[in-house]
Parts: sequence; C-alpha cells; structure tokens
Amino acid sequence: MSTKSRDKRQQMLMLAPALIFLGLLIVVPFFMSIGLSFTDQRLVPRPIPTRFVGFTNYERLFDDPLFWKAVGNTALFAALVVPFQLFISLSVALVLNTALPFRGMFRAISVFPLLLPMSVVVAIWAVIYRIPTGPLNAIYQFFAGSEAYIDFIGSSSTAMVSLVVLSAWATFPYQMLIYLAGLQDIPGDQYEAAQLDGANAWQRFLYVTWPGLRNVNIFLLIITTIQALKLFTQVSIMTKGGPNGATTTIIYYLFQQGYTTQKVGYASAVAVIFFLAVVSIALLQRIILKNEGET
Amino acid sequence: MADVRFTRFRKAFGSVEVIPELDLHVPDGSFTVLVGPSGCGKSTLLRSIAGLEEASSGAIEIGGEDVTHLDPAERGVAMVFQSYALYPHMTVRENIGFGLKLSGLPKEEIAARVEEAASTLQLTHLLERKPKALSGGQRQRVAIGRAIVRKPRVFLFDEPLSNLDASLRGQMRVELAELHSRLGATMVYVTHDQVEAMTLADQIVVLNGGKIEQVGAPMELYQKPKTPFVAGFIGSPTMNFVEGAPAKALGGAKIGIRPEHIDITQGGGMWTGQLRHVEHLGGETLAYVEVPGIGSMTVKREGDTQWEPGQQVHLTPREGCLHVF
Ligand SMILES: Nc1ncnc2c1ncn2[C@@H]1O[C@H](COP(=O)(O)OP(=O)(O)O)[C@@H](O)[C@H]1O
Ligand SMILES: [Mg+2]
Repeated sequence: MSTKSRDKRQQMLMLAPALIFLGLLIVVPFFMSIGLSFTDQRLVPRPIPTRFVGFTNYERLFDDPLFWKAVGNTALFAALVVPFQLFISLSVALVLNTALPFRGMFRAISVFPLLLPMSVVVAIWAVIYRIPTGPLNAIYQFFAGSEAYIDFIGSSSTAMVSLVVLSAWATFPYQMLIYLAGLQDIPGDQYEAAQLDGANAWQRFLYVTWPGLRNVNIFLLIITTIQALKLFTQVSIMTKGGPNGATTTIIYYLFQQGYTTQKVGYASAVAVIFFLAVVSIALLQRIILKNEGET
Repeated sequence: MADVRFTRFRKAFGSVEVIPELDLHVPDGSFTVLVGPSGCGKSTLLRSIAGLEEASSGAIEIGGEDVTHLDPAERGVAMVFQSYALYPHMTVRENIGFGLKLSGLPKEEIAARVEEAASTLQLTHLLERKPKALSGGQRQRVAIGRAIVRKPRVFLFDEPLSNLDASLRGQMRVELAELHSRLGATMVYVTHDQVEAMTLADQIVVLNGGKIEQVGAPMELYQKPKTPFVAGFIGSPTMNFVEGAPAKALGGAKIGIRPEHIDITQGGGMWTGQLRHVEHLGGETLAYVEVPGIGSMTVKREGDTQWEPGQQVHLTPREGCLHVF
C-alpha cells in the first residue's frame, strides 16, 4: 500500500510543472472569459468601473443578427470544408501508400503547404484568385471564351468557396499524414485474403480499407470540424469578413467585438457560446459514430 | 480437385533469387507439406500458387491449366494465413461468407453453405461474433471455414498452427488431418515444424535455400534421407553425424546415426564416452554423451533409465541403421 501511494505522489510531483503550466495558460483564461462574459468590461480601461451585468451580454447576443449570420457562415464553411478536405487527404494518402516510384519525394512535396505560414498561403492564393487575369481566371476565360472574369474573393457568392479551397489546400497534409499512418496500420494480409476472396480494387477499399480507417475517420472528423469552426486567420488576412459579411465567422466576429469595438465582455460571451457549441458538436459526433459502429 | 505442377519455376525479388529454377508436382488429393528452416522460401512458393507472388519465370499449373498469369481469385485456391487475416469488422458469418457474397451467390445459398461449414468446424454458436471476441483456436477455425466454403480446388496453409499453444496445436493437427480425409482435397501446407510435417503429410518437400533437397513420403525421408540436410531436419532429436577417421572405419566420409539407433552399455562397445547430461521426458529418455574424437552424441531410449551424469558409457551404432553420405 505504501509503495503504491508513494508512486502516486511521485507521479503527481512529476506532473505538477506541466499541470501548473496548462492551468495558467488554458484553465485560468478560460474561467476568466466566463467571468468577463457577465460584465461590461472594455478593452481599454474607462473612468467608470467595470460592472456585473448578469446575462445581458447573452441576451443581446441571441438577438444580434450579425452573430447569427456569423454562426451560419461558420456552419457553411465547416459543412463544405470538412468533407472536401478529408476527401483530398484520403485520396492523396491512398496514392502515396501505393508502391509509387519516388514515393519518398512525393510524400515530402505533399506536406509542403504545412510548412507555410497562413499569411504566405493567402498571398499565394491571392495571386491565383487575382482579377481579371489571375491563373484561375485565365482558365475560366479559356473555357468561357470571353473577357468575363470571376471575382473569387470580392463577390459574396464565391468568397466562401474560395476560402474553403484555400483552407483545404493549406491544411490537408495534416489529415493526409494521419490517414497514411492509418493505412499502414491495416495488415497487408487482409488485402491478400480479400484478393483471394475475389475482391476487386474498389471492393478491397470498401471492405478492408474503409472499415480499417474507422477510428482514424472518427478522430479526423472531430479534429477537422473543430479546426473549421475556428476559422479566423484566412478571413482576417484575405477577406476581412467581407464582402458584405459573407465570410464573417464566429471567431472573426468575436475578434471584431473584442478589439475593433472593444467590447471584451460581449466578446467573452461569444467565446463561451462558441466553446459550448464546439464541445457539444464533438461529443455528438463521437456518440453517433460510436453507436453506428456497435450495431 | 486438382494437382499442382511447377515447371522450371523461378522467383526473384529484385536481384535476390529466392527460388532458383525448380520443378515440383503436388499430386491430386495429396497433403503435401513444404518444410524447411525459416527464410528458405516456403511461403514464397505457397504464395506463388495462390497468385500473391508472380513467377519470375517458369510456369504453374493447377489441374492441368496454366495459371501462371491468372489473378488469385481465378485460380480456385483458398489460403489460410498464419495471422488468420480475418476481417475484424465482420462477424464470423460475414467473414466466412465474404467470398461467396462477392461471387454473387444468392443469399439463401450463402447462408446454407456458411451454416454447413460452421457446423463442420463447430462454429455455429459463434456465427454472430466478431473476430476479436474469439480465442486463437476459434479464429483459426474461422479462417479454415472461410477457405472451405469456397470449395477450392487446392487449399493452401501458411504455418496455420504456429500462433497456437502446444496442446491446441496438437488438437488442430488432428482436425486438419480429418478435414483432409473427409474433403479429399489437395492441400499444400507450409511449416518449419518437422513434427507437423511428419504427422500430416503424405508427401513432404524439404526445402533449403530455395532448393528442393528431397521429396517423399514421411517414412521414406526418415529411413532414406538423400542428404545430410534432410537427415538432420527430419526426426527428433536430430540425427548424430560422425566424420573423419571414425566414419571411415564404418565405411563412409560422413555417417549419420539416429539417436534411437545407438545402443548404450556399461562395458564393451564401439566408442567410449562420458554422460554429460540426461533428459527424462517420461515416455523416453535422452542421453547426451561426449565421445572423444567424435563429439557430442545424442542417444534415445524408451522408458526411464538409471543413467547418471558423469558416468562412463559405451556406445554402439545398431547394425543396418547407418546412413552413409
Ligand atoms: N516481398 C519480398 N521482397 C523481398 N524479399 C522477400 C520478399 N518476401 C520474401 N522475401 C525473402 O525471400 C526469402 C524467403 O522468404 P519466405 O518465403 O517468406 O521464407 P519462409 O516462409 O520459408 O520462412 C527470405 O529471405 C525473405 O527475406
Ligand atoms: Mg513463411
């Protein structure tokens, strides 16, 4: 008994620095923002002291059309980017998992976007999306056969899709690498057994690869959804939430409220709602997918 | 039902020649065991029959049909893998019926054949379980079930018992032998365990470094091994070898004597040695004797004995039981 409790104490002592660090960096600010969300705290101190305002921020938030627009935009972005990005990641992983010549080189090239800061990614895509003569518009004009062009970033009907493509390109290698690891975890003899059972390439994917990636898929779906819900950097550099609020996401709205208009209390309420939404979505996905697997 | 024939078959991985040119015939309905030390190319040969490895040159025929360039599914063979290779997300029923489902058989027919295989293998009560809820022996049976429902022309086994514990291995060995006599199908079986080879085979193929050392019935290999390698590989404990002057005295450059063919006495024998160690296995006893000028010799006796380590003993090889190489 004594050795066991001593082990426990030792473990706690060794964990302590990391726990304190995590506490100061994550837990304290988290509870602070909960606290702030019940106040009228401003960014720059004012002569009038900060007051406790109860649920006022939350009540205002629920009546705020701009907030709901941001929620809608964020949901749209996630709904588009998650399947798109996971599809690309899995496709590339499948190709890189075959006995391709120069496989090592292709693997190295494929993770290239991960090495770029988002500002550089945006700069690259700003060139690609450029009007009226960027490469993408050149292709469009070639097929349309006219001088017309699409304002990918500047038009509210295409801005969101442009962001989706850019974001998927910028971060897909992360999911791709995890898929690749997942693919390598599937024992090769299952494929051989399936081959002997008469499965063609598509059936081998359907009956061996896809079920074999189940846990990877659950993990990636949750991670990628959360990543999508946090969309901010691309918006803040490329579209500034525009045109006409078409790309204002929850986090961008939070940032606007907190910094541009300095309403820290209000922004904190946005943050708390956002946090609750993310946690419930992740839990919901987890529960739904788990039930599906058991049947 | 079909025979398997390798003609001038050769297999190389890149520049490494794993199987130099080889001819081999597996007769229809035989239980042929490929045996040899690890890395000698047994699995490669078996996988070549399945079509999982492509011949570098030469041909493979199954039932007279050249299958060298056919896909695995078109060869009419079924394979039981060492790791079983069950589909983890499918139930036992789905695992066994998977090949039938892909071939587009009607549902009722699949169900009937799966039930039949399951009852043969005593798996009926496990049909709705997933592989992870099965013991090693049960998984083994599912893998065999998956092979038999397809009614293949040839069964292939790659060390199917090596992941089981000793008692289960003995039991499965008996079941496999029964399965073979019941189905009468051609079976090719890979193992590095000479006990499995001796007990299951009607034809043993001894491989060494990708080359065939000898092909024959178990007792033939035991009684008339053609090479020292075969002689050393078949039989347990391993055959004793005598070289140099003592061998010459017996009429050869290298003489092999099985441990069960040496008489051990207190006085008056061909060689004198010292008992180094004695192993009592219950039904039999093994004596390790150090003979000056020859080396260590193993002697096997039925029943228990009164031997003591350190004792001086005399050894005499039994007349007519010498293997001259
Ligand atoms: N896919 C492969 N690529 C390269 N070498 C291989 C491959 N498969 C087997 N080998 C080599 O071929 C030899 C025979 O292997 P294998 O047939 O698996 O032997 P065994 O089953 O008798 O233990 C070994 O030296 C092994 O390293
Ligand atoms: Mg092997």
